[in-house]
Amino acid sequence: MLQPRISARESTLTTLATALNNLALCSRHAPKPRQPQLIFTRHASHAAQGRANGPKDSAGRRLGAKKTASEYVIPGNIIFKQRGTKWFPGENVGIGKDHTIYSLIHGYVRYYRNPAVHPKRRYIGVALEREGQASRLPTPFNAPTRRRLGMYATPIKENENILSPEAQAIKDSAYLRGHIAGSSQPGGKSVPVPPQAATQKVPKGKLFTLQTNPFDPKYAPRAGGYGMANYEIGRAAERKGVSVKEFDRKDRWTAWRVRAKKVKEKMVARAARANRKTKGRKSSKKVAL
Amino acid sequence: MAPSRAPSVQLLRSLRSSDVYSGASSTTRAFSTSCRQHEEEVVVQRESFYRNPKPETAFVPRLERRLAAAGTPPIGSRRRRMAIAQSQGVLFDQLPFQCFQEARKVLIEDRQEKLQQIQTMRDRIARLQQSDGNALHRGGEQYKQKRLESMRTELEHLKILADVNDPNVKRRFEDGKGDMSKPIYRFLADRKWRDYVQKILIQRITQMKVVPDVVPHCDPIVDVKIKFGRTNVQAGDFVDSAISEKPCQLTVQSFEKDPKLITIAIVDPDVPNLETDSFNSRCHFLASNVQIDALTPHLDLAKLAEEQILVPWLPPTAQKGSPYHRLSIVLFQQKDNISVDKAVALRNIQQTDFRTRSFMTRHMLTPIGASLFRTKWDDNMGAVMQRAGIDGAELELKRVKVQPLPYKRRNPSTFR
Repeated sequence: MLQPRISARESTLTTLATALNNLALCSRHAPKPRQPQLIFTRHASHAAQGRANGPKDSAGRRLGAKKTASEYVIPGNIIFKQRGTKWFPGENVGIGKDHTIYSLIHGYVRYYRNPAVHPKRRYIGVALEREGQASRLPTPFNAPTRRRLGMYATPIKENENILSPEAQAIKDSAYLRGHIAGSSQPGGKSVPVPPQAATQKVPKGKLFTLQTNPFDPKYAPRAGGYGMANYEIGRAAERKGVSVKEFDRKDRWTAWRVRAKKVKEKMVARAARANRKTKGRKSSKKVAL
Repeated sequence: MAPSRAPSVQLLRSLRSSDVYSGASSTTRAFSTSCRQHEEEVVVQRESFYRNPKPETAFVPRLERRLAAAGTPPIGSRRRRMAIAQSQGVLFDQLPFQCFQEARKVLIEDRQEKLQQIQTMRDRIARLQQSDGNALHRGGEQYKQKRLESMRTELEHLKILADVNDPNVKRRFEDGKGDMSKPIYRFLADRKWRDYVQKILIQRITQMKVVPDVVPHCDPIVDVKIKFGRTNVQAGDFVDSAISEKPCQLTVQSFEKDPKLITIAIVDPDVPNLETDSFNSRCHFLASNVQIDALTPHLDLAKLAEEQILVPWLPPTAQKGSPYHRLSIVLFQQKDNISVDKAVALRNIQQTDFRTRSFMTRHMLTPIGASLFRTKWDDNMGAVMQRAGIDGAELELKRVKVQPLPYKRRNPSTFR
């Protein structure tokens, strides 16, 4: 490959450069070593149309005052909708997470400033009265807060769940008796399972049935009414003779079999659902043809 | 932290102590320019550390627990106790740190200067007291008194400045051994109180609106702590009605030298009034001419004298369903410590409709401390109300439903 060659000899060039440098009047005018220059240009390529700059024509957000000054409001009424806090919550109003101002009491809306609290903020409040001294907001500095009771008195209704001490004692003793009889005797011998319960036939699809015989001590009255005691529920499998293989977390073979069975069942169920005529729609709805 | 039983520990310790105190003269004395005599101190033989632990030096958790159980809880931080325990019993002033000793010299010098200033100020005050006010200044006697007052204030300030940098004073205060009869400890206690406790108190009384609702303003200068028997109550706590049936004990800590005559008022501004659809304020306790000073802060409201009590303790109550009641405790200073006449005061007091503001203006009272606790309906409230003779225990308050105004379509024709 051909390369450009400098015909002059090295020593000649050096001599020439030294001579030229000597010609210069001072070091400031000495020739600077030439730097390679790169110029980048950028042309206008910004999209001016379409959605490039974001939609500017969204629907209005329906912001602004919903209640005017001295308009009657009740608790929960929205007074002002805004972005940011153009208006701050004053007396007897709250502010939502989107800065919506709403009323906390029933009264009359006031728009005001409170230079004692903040020189620039504008507040919205709800006054108790429409006219007169109590209608003015803000309330004078260090004046007691104006408030309304807004309550009425009724006789206290006796709660059925709360019993008199005597009734509660009877209930408690019955509960205790039921538990002691079923779980453990003071002698340390557990009561054998009554034969009636042991031979009872459990209908198919139901693990057990709730017994509600109030005279049996093991169904002692308790807070939620008559029901089976927890220890009875716990023995349901024992009575039925169900034996469960003890879980061993290292036994991955059994785990895989159980999992495979579940997956298969799920697939079968899905296939059955797909074959159904309604195809997942509720049967009460009619299929549009 | 199990105690090390290695035999070398004792040996090492003795070696270390001998190194610092006896054999140090040849090797480690090279840099020191001061406090030669401190090193000739006799090493105090330490007592058995594990047999009888001391609250100043115990730093093992087991010993700390033992001390706490014995009723003498350990003093200061564990790190500090450990440092004291391992410091060979050197007196605090004589710690063998050169910088510390040099700094102490500067402080002692400064203290001497301040003591000189105190003496000068005392002399000046005495001279001014003897002089004739009218001859002194055209302001006359009034000017003289004002001048004396400001000089006394300056004198108190100098007393504090003389001691405020003393490490021993600081240490004694942190150990809780400060003597409140001395100005420096009062100053330190006040500063510590204002640093945190007072801020919390002010926040509570303003957030729960004791300040505009009961008194128009309050700048607390005394600390108030509430206690019912053995139950400590923080400002704003809910107190069970069975607990608050008996009068509470107050700890009123003043940080000023002079004793004060105060009036104590416990006011509930949240008593529902169904007729006017608003709230009344009820006085639950009122006592006047109670003297407090910095040394005797404890005040049992049940044990006040008969002539001090204007309104005896009325148990705090709240009807079922009513918003919580704020039992605000306000301490008023009586102007110029002039005592309140009981007969005159009782003439204008209405317990069920108590006006704190008018009571204040009538007797020229200034609020100097405030606190509060709260109460609401609980299981014991019915019985408490019955015993206190307050009716309304069988009634329940329920919210009145606010009816909205009927909806009006403003301009139906323009609606879509």
